[in-house]
Amino acid sequence: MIDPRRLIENLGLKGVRDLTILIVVLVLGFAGAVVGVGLYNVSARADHFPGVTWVLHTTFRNSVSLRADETPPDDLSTPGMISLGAGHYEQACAECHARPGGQQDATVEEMLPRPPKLFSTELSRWSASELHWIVYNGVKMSGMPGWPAERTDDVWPIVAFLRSAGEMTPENYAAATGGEERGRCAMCHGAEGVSTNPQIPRLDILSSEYVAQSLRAYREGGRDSAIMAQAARALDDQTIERLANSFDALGPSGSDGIVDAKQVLRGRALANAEGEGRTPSCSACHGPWQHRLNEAFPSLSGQHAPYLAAQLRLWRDGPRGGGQAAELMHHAAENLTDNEIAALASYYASRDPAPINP
Amino acid sequence: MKIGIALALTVVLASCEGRQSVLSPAGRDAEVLANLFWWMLGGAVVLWLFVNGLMLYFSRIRRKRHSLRVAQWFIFMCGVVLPTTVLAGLLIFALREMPQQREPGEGLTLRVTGESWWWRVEYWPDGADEPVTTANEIRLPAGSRSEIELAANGVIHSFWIPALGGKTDMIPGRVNRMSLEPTAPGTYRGQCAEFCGLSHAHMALEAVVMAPEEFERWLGAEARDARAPEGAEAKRGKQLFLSQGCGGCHTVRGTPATARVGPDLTHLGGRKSLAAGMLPMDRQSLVGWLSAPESIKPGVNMPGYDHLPPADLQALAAYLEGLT
Ligand code: HEC
Ligand code: HEC
Ligand code: HEC
Ligand code: HEC
Ligand SMILES: [Cu+2]
Repeated sequence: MIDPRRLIENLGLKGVRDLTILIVVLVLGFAGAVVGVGLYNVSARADHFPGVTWVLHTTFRNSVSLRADETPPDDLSTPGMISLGAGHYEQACAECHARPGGQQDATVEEMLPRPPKLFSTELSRWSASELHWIVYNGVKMSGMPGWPAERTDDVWPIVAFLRSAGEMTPENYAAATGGEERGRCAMCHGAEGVSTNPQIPRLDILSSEYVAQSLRAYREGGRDSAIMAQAARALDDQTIERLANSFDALGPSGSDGIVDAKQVLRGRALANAEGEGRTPSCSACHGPWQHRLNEAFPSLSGQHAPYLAAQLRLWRDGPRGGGQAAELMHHAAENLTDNEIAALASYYASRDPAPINP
Repeated sequence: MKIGIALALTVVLASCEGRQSVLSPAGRDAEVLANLFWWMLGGAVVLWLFVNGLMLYFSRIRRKRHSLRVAQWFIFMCGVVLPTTVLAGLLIFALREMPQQREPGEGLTLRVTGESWWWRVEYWPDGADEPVTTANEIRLPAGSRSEIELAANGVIHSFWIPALGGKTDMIPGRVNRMSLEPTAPGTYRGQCAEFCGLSHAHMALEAVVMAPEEFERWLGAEARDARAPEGAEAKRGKQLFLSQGCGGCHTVRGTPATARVGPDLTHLGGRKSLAAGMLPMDRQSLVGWLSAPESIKPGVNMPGYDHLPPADLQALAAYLEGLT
């Protein structure tokens, strides 16, 4: 046993106060050497000291489970959510985390920590809301980036996709992300802009002016969507013009039809502001019309219901941006209830698309 | 000093004159109220002089002890008999006048609904099965009693045209009734008198009293569909009105615009003022309103159209101005 009094005396110090001062000086000196002189080796080639990896991982795990609190939506595990998630994974995550059955980049393999190959790890140890938290927030000082948007709802497709990892064979993955005819856009929106995934808007029913203004809004951040920001960030003005004019070649046709006749009738009454009319009449801006009234107002007829409903919630609850006239839509949507949103979405989704170039 | 008092008096007295004053009544009901006010004021002045006179008398002029009997008699007369008589008199007077304010009308019924922050106005002439709808302005024939049904949408408002009568609250989910009998033709001003949100102070109302024949002519014209636009600019304005989605919230009868979220604009140009008494009805105010309604009425439920080029706003204003 060391007798502290003897130690103090041997060091020639007088009392506990002097010992404290000595310790503080030593610690500050060490910190100064690490920060100021560069004593600590930041090389990613050199592994962590023993035990540090454990400390970091445990901290990460517990930090996530303490904070994860978002409730998953009812339609989390639908095929549409999973394949949209696959599309976004392909454009934003595959580079680091590898495709199902695929290899990691040689360079990515040298990251510290190395991004886990998500399809070879036990992802099921995370709950849906924990995965949501990780993907939305990212992980500090690890290379795992945060979600590049404010809204949190569009993280769920990715979560759905990660949770389906069990069934995600390389073939399934290729099917969900294939389609190279019109490059990156076709992967999600279909070769002719006629997306068959109800979570992804069809573009063939939209005017080229509206498509162009939306792409510019995604690119500049005025319209908040991490998925579309990833797709549109690098587009220059000419490419936007070209893309905008490329989806209306076919006359749009076909719709999801009537799923729930009662909802469709309610939606029609609301859209035309029949009755007391406390909600602005949607049809005055969105049709159905004989002739398109305004190129900047999107046509809704034939659009997928889940997409319409998601957008209406964004208009009502958040700062959904868009073109110059976006403010009009906030006024139109501010008093809608969830039920009314479902009815309006059913109504417009059941209608045949309006001609674009009559 | 004297000039100061004179100035202060002119300011105070000037505010009693005018189109939004209880003290210059232009209707039967307001006359009663004004009468009551003057009587009460007169009475209060007399009482004040009497009480202070007594105090002065007993404390300065005749300072002597009074017998218990005199003191008791005094307290009984001034503390019980006098107030009872005066208050009973006032009560009888007021009760006699009250039924008048609720009397049924003589033909015309109006329904006024308080919205945030404007007034929906519907005229139901005798025997009509569809109302004539307008907004932010009521017109009444002089010399007859019109019945007014008061409703509200969402929050409480209160309907008050001081020169014509007393105020009545507008309560969501029920209909309150009152009636007004204006006597002097002219233009008066009303105001929402119950706090109803951000723009409560910006919720005024024009009240126009007209000679009966003139009123009939006006109501006939008001019932008609909107005038077709004249001139190239106004025609372009109508196109813009439909293509910019104004019809999502407004009605212009005779066009595809049939929504009821905002005021009926069928005869907007014929109204005395714009946006519930906030602006004069002219081209410049219309352009200002369309581009930034929020700056005129905070919290307003009409979106701004400042993204439109100035020429489009001018064209819209030309069309609206022509809707007389
Ligand atoms: C720049 C490379 C990089 C990109 C791009 C990236 N990640 Fe990561 N990710 C990482 C790293 C590094 C970790 C490890 C963090 C740790 O363990 O501290 C990680 C961890 C994760 C984890 C936690 C895995 C576990 O079990 O610990 C999930 C889930 C995840 N990422 C999902 C995604 C998704 C989804 C995307 C695309 C939106 C994405 N990541 C994009 C680098 C990346
Ligand atoms: C990973 C899937 C994915 C890819 C790739 C993708 N999109 Fe999208 N796109 C979406 C989703 C999801 C939305 C809805 C986003 C939102 O909520 O605003 C969307 C919205 C849009 C919209 C707005 C539609 C509307 O009705 O408002 C346009 C236009 C669009 N995308 C065009 C494109 C173009 C052009 C490309 C190629 C450069 C592309 N997208 C690539 C998934 C994708
Ligand atoms: C005054 C005109 C106006 C009215 C009324 C109106 N909208 Fe809109 N709406 C717009 C405009 C303008 C946009 C496009 C904004 C942008 O992105 O630039 C839009 C966009 C939308 C979108 C997004 C479409 C897409 O492809 O992303 C939906 C959904 C929508 N509106 C539904 C409705 C419904 C339902 C109603 C009735 C309750 C309604 N709107 C009433 C003007 C209006
Ligand atoms: C989202 C619904 C909405 C849309 C779209 C809308 N308005 Fe309005 N508007 C209102 C409401 C509500 C008021 C009443 C505001 C108040 O006074 O508080 C109003 C008031 C007005 C007034 C004043 C009426 C009066 O009686 O004094 C005019 C004029 C007007 N709007 C014109 C237009 C024009 C022109 C357009 C299209 C360019 C338009 N509005 C689009 C809701 C709307
Ligand atoms: Cu008020």
